[in-house]
Amino acid sequence: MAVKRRYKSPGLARKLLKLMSVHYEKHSIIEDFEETFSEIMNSDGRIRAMCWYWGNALKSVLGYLKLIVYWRGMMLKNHLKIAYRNFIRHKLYSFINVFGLAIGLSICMIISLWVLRELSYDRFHEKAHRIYRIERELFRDNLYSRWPITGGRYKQALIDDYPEIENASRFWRREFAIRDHDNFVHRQEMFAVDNSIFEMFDFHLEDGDEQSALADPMTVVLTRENAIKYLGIGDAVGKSLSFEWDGELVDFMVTGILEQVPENSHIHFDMLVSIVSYKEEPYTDWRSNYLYTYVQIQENTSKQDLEKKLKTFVSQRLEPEYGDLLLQDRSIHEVLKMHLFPIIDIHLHPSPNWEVEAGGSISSVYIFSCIAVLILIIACMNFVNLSTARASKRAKEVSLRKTVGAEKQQLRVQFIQESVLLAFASFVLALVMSSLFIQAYNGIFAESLSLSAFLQLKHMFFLVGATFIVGVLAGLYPAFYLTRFEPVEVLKGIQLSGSGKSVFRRNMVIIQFSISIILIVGMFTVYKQMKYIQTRSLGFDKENVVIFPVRSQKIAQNYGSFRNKLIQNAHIISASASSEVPADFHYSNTYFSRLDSDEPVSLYLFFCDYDYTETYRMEILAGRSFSRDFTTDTEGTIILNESAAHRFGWTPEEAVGKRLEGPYSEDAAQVVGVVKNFNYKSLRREVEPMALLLSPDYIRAISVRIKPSDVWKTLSFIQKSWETTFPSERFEYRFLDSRVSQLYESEKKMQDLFVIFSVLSILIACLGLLGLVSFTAELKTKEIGIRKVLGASTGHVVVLLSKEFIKWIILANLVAWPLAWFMMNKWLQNFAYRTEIGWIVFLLAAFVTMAIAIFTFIFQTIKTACAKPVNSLRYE
Amino acid sequence: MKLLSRTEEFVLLAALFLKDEAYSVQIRKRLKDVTGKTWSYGALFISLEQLVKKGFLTSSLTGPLPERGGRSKRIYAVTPSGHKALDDIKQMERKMWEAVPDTNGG
Repeated sequence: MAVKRRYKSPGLARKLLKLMSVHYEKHSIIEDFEETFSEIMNSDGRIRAMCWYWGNALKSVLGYLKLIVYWRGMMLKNHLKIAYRNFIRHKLYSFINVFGLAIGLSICMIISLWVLRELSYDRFHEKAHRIYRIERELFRDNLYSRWPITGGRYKQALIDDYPEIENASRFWRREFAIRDHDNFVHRQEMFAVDNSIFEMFDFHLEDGDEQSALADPMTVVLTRENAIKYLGIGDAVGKSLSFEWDGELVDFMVTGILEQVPENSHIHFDMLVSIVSYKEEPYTDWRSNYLYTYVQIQENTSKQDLEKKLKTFVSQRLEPEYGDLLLQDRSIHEVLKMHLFPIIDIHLHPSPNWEVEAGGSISSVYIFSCIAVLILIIACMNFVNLSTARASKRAKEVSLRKTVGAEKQQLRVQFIQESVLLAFASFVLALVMSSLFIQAYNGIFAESLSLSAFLQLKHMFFLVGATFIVGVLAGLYPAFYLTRFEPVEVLKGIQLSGSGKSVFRRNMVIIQFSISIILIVGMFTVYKQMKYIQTRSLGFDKENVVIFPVRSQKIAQNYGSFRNKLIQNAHIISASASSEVPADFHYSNTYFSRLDSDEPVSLYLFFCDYDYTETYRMEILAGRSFSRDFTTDTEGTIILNESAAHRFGWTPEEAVGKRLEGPYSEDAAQVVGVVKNFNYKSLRREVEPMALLLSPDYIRAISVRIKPSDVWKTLSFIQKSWETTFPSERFEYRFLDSRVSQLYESEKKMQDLFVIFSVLSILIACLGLLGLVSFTAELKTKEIGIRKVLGASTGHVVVLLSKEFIKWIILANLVAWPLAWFMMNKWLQNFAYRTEIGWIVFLLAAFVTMAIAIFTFIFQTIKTACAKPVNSLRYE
Repeated sequence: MKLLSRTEEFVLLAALFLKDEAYSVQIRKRLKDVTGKTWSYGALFISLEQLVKKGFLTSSLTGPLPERGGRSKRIYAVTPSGHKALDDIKQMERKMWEAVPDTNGG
């Protein structure tokens, strides 16, 4: 042997070689190559040696790849073929499997579309993460209340005091009477805003200059739709529009055409006027709150730091005017906190008071996400359950594969592949079903969800990924379960032990049914609460009241003669006018205080005419209602509600005759009566203190109580009277009960969705049960045959087969009840006035599941039980 | 009886020649020395494996060796049936050659 020097081969190539030569240990290949490498190095030099080594390494990689691709391809082809044959042979199982999972997936898809939509609110603004709404928290009457509204002075003061605040703008909700090109008067809601909204937000103009559109007084921008409505043409820039402004007609200049505000914005508008049209601030003090102030902070400023700094704003600017809050020796920072509320959170965390729009709720996002996950779990369990049950049918296949040399790993891969394949089949079916469901959903709930959100790469990726994971997870258990079989035993024909009553599968059926039961309890509870809301006495009679919105000052002036015409009709019981009607979203409030105390109480105010309590049939607890017979009932006379009387520290009887100091009359206002609490807001909330204030001039709605018979005749009579009294005003009306039910729209929607989801989940669970039962029945074919030969009746056999399943379902009920009770109790906490869940609901849920399940397996077992024993004994 | 292929015959002969040193690297070297061609390890291993399977060779691992960096090597030894197979083929070849006296075609 020549030079005995050893060299080290290139590491990467060595690793490659090692990886590729599967049997390298057998021949100690790597060492051989090492030795040869050293030899070539010694005789021919480094370059030759390297070339040789790398050449061999690469050659081995190529060979290995060729081998793998070829054989994997062959196996895949075989696996696909077998999967297809199995699918075709067991049509019912395959259908149940794919269909069940597809339903689950498509529910998930629709819910995630909805959740994505809910989460997308206000994120379309480029600067969304830097825009906050100025909100305050006030401690008063022993509780904190959230105030999303501020006064008009905040904006400039904040910009002056804090350099971190780059920009700010205000939205002030206004309502004006506008005269259209046909001289009709419309009442139009709009916002008075600063021109800076076009810089801060991604609200844009189709036409017009965003730099200056609303910079000048008496300018207005509106949507094309509105331009056509009021001016008759879409390209309205430069035209003028006449507003009824403080009782006078004022011309506003159209300076732009607004683009439609995206649906996922917490604020919507189709007309904006410049806030500078108000030549001076209408309220100059720091305590009047009437508009929303939004600020945009600098890129690198943190919200927390700025909020800390806002404390000086509170103590310097606000404290002097909030002195009365400090009665209990508290520091101003304990009773008044200023917050920056991110606009992207507004939609899901709306303020209970003075919110811009009704908004969504984070809890329904959670609830529906949970439901989506639960339903997906049910569907996956079905999938696993059925695959496993079917697996024993395939024990022979597995055993044969093992006998001809399949390794466990290969078999597992085969089964997982198969289940992924089925999962994707379900996925495709789910997409088709979703596109159908979504149309129904949009139709029912008047929403506009669209599958196109899934076209985004990230969402598509997520969906495909989720399907893949579902497939793998569902295939995992059967894969491991099946590969455990001992080929010898299976091929010898020994019955698989426990294949009919595996603990694992039993648990899954129990979990499936538990989830279904929870959903059913949820459905019944929501239904019960809705019923409770609809039938609970609201404190006023919502039936047979028609409300006519008042759109211009003209109507208010001629209201008296209109009313006189109406009350002459025998079908009209009474009529009254007011600023507010029950079941509205926005109310205004102000402070009143007792003459002998400085502590003010915040009251919601209903300005109204005589006959108001009579028209709404509110109950007077003490004193009397407003009456024309008393000359002392002048403007500003007050009727308190129960909780207001209580807040002032009076019983209803004590309150009558007392006087209150408020901003609406020179003298202190006299309390003439106390009305029983009525739910003018949603039943979610306790009835807050309010007052009816006699004021015949401030009219925004006319309420008329009519007799229930001949409603349409009465309405046409009212229309005629309207048209003769107010020839240029549009006639519109709404029934009070429809307004009230509108308050509970989100609960109604919840109820409908719960019904749909629980029906679907029960359907999926039953599909699974059907599959399992028919499988068990098939396994027991021989047993049943023998029993029948020995004299068992069909009924006996059915009982025999069902006994175990019934046990499971009872168990599922026991598991589900406490969970369901806990969850629904939590949901009911949302309501100030709520029903009890009640044991009936649970029994009902138990009954429903039991009935459906029994129906399912009686349907299936009767077939087996009725079969002739000869046929079943000949089986196998 | 199946005859040995030429490759198998050469590999067996090389193993016989190398005695205790008969492991893959040396066998390959010997084959190269005699035939003047480079043999790939792949071809060599396939033959070795076949021969072991047929029972003409046995293989055993040595203890760790310092010249292989502390690893062992697989030594091949010709079994009696291997010897017999070689004898058979040698005789057959001789018979074939004897029947043809002049290879120059003269």
